Amino acid sequence: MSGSTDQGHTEQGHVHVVADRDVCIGAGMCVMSAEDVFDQDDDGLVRLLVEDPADGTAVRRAVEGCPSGALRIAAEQTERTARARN
Amino acid sequence: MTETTTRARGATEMPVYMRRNEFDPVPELTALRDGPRVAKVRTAFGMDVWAVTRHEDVREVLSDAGTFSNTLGMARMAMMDDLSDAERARMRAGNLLAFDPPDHTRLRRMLTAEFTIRRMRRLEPRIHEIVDEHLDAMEAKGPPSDLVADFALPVPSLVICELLGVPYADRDDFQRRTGQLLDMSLPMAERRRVGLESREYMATLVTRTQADPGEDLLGMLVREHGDDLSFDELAGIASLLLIAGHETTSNMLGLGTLALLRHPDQLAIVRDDPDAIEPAVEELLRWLSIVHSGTMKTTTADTEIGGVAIPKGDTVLCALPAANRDPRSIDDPDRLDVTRGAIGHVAFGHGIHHCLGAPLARMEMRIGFAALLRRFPTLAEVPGTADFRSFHVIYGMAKMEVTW
Ligand code: SF4
Repeated sequence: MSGSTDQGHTEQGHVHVVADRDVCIGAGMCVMSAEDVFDQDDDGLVRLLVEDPADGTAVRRAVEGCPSGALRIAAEQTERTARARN
Repeated sequence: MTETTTRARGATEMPVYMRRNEFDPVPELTALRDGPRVAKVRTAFGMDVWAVTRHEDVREVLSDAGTFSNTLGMARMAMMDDLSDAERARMRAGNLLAFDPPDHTRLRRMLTAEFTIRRMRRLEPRIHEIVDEHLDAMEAKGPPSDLVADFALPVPSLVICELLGVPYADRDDFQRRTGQLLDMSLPMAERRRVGLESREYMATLVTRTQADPGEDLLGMLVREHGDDLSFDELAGIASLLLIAGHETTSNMLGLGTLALLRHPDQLAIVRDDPDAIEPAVEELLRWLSIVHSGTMKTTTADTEIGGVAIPKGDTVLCALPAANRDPRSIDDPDRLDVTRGAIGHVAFGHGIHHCLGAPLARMEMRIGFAALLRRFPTLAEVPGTADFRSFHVIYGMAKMEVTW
């Protein structure tokens, strides 16, 4: 799965998204923006359905729109991620 | 504008961040945004606070609960009255807007499960029913109809009462009290009296629920968190949710309908294309921004917003209508364009206090606007009846007659 994160560097390709459930306030905005990537568990907190979603645009919108700052696109920190992997 | 201004009783002048020309923030406010960016303004209570007006700055303030404290902000406001500390603590209990983390997190966590998108979808059929019943009644009575009294107010009111478990018979009293509580043209003493009355009602409701917890939200809170939550907290949560559920969606339905009626091309899009409703609701939320400002925040340290130094202990408010029409964040911001589909707006706030009821409000609006416009395709405003309600925590319509 993590192999595809490298594509996250391109504008339209896969992105690697990280959700911090300690920060999430369960507003469900992410579910609205990208229903096939984000879900809410029974407590209302975010749950990732896929970690490397293909629809980068919708995911970026979700990350942008998350009111609590619980979502982050990891692959955009290109160099650091790449270096950490090596 | 002159008419609405004169409705404001009392000596205090309406603060700049609350003033509107019908749907628009006043030019003084947008000039503040496009000029000094962050500046001191006088609130309705005569206090001088920093108004933050740009979209990017508002998001920054609302994202940083550590620097911009609601707890301290509330304490500041409370100093304006003459309650004892114990009374103040009681009034504050359970009010999520009056707390920072970790106290806020504790309360919010108990409620998130009740407001998930999935839970809201389960309510959908019931919301359709409530909307249809009110449209049936309007149709049966025939035009003209006061859209506020016949539709915009009762629909969200019924929905939130059912969700929470407020008996139908108590609804009228509750509605009246909520309206008065948020009406800033009423003398402070009267609002406080209504506040206590409302608190007493909530106490009765909580006592009843504790004795026999039902399937509704209050019943769930008692069953699942009954040991964690004090009596006052339960009453406070119920009170906040009821007030929020009444006043916000109802004003969006009223004001939003009028906005569409005055933009017939936009109305036609919403009425004729079922897919148009979702982005249209977001655009109406942005364009109307009925919540003038979030709660007041107090700085916990010396800080800076948009290059302006703000000392520790000062109070800051976010002018949401100015931010939502910030040309730096959206093109042609003053134009109502229901096809934009952008959800970057801050009409529901941002950060940890982002509206808990947003999924419910969105669903009610989608169902409500669509059903109203399809039931009465020739819906029209009765000229001269639209009464904008200004001196109020939430902007909206007091009354608005329609025909069809
Ligand atoms: S948008 Fe952010 S806060 Fe809301 S559910 Fe998703 S991750 Fe949580």
